Amino acid sequence: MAKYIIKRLIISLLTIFVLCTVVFFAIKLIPGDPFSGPEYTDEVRAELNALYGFDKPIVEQYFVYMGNLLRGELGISVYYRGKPVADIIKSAFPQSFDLGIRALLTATFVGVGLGVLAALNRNRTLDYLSIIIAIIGISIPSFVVASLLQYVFAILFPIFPVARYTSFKHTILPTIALALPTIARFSRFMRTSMLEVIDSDFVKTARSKGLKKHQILFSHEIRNSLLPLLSILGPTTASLLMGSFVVESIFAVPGLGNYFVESINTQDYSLIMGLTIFYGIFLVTINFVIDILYGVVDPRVRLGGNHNG
Amino acid sequence: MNELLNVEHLSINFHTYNGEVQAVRDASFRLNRGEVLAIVGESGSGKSVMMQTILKLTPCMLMGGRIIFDGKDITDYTDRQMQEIRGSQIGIIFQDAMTSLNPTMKIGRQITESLLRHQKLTRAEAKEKALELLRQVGINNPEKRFHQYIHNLSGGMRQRVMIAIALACKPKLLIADEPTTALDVTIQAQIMDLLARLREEVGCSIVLITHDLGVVAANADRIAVMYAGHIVESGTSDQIFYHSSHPYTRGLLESIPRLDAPRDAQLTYIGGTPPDALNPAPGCAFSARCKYSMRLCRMQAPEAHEIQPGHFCSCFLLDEEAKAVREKTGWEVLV
Repeated sequence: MAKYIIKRLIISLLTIFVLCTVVFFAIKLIPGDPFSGPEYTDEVRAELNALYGFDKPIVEQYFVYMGNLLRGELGISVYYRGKPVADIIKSAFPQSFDLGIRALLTATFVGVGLGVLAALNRNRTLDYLSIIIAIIGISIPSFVVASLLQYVFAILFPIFPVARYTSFKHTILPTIALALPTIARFSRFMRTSMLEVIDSDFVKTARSKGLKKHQILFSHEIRNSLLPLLSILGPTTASLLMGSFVVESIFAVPGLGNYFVESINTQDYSLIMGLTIFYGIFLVTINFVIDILYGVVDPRVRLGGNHNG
Repeated sequence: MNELLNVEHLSINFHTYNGEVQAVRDASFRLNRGEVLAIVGESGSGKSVMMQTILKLTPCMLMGGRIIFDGKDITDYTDRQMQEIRGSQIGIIFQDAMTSLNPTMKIGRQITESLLRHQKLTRAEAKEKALELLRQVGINNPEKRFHQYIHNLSGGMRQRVMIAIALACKPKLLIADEPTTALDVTIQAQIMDLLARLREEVGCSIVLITHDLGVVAANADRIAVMYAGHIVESGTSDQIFYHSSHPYTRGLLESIPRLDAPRDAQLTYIGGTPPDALNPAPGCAFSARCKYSMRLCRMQAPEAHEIQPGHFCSCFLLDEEAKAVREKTGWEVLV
């Protein structure tokens, strides 16, 4: 197990290194630079470029940046003058994280529940209902869903606040908007895997033991159907927790999503790099945790364990 | 009361996209306490469906007939009522233990699950009992195996675990649904020996479903031969092996390859294919493949004749009036 973890750790570090390198050169390929606006005179521009080190050869810039990164410094934002990138992440991430966790939990419980119900009522009303929810969730883009939710539940029927993110009541609409596509995916996924398990031989064995319906449902059917879901849980978690530009803008949630888009629009080199690396580390870590978790719940994939027969 | 299971005129259908499949048609058989009954037939003859439907494990529909188990008519039992019988009074072993056991659940828990369901035991007592069961089915080091998963075990061991689960609550009836088909020959023998030993220890009856006549010869007290959903012949092992009276049974017996046959001899087989269960033709199901079939066979299904006490056979050749045909074709009634 220890060997496996070390191996994974090295691969993770390599992944992040490659990610940094590719992103670093990719953003330099974008035409223009942060100071190409008309408000800058040539003199100011040269001064700013010198200040941020953009006048040096690109390879040198790369090594300087990577050196700073090794010391844990993400640099200073170009657009938000003087603000360290780390501070921006530190102030915005908690909101995205909070919203993401809520959406993730909602999506998991509702999605899994809906999938199970659909499978148990195969080709009956409830099954079709879950298909409709899934189609809506997958095909209607979140800016439409979010705006509709906002219009119906905050303006037509003012049950929830229109925007901002300060109390529990504020969290409900953005959570639903963010969770809906994931609910849709999870429920479809769960339905398929549940149907497979329901027809499997070991469920028949469980029934042949005289187990009660709910015993079979929980300890055999749902448990085994959840396993394939774990593999899509990693990327889903990362993308939900990292914030959504659309949902966060519509509900004025001061999260990371906004910065992602803005940093690219303004060619804020250090912020793009900082956010990308942050996202990368996050994704790699979550996938790592999911892999370990997989080994815990599904003994067949336990790696480096003792396989004696 | 010596009779444990009595099945009378059982008919079973199931729905498919192509229509109703008549899987079992008018099948009757009995099983006495302590007896081993082998149900023999080719794939698709309805033997597994019949036994699994008796336990209500299949989504099939009972079209008619009665099932009497241990003096009680269980034909119309609901799923909830069957739960009390499954596992505690009737145990079942399936063909492929690899897929029939839950891959993500520890072996121990799969056994205790059944014990805890039917008996008033604490977890510790159930564990003790499960370890004892593992020992009984010949698994070494049960304490270690208890905490392992099926992928840690070999095929034979998996089937042993399956047997331990089926026998956990000392059922009165054990249904062994092709228990050795997925195993190699040496392991087959071990498993059959184990079943024979456990039958003595637990004192249960066994219904052995198989298409392997070698397994049957060594283990069964009585045999029922199934063809296309019908039980065409049934009787004691001796009656079936030495006095078989149905052309299908004889065909099966002749098809067993012999070691002492000349090397260049053709293997014998029954020509043709089993009838379409979706649209069964009227008359005897075997008539299309039968060397001796008469006009009557294609029009009317034969009733069961009791040739000797306990030896039943459904064939018109046994009828008095078919004497001329018997003489012409050289068919002998072996009594």
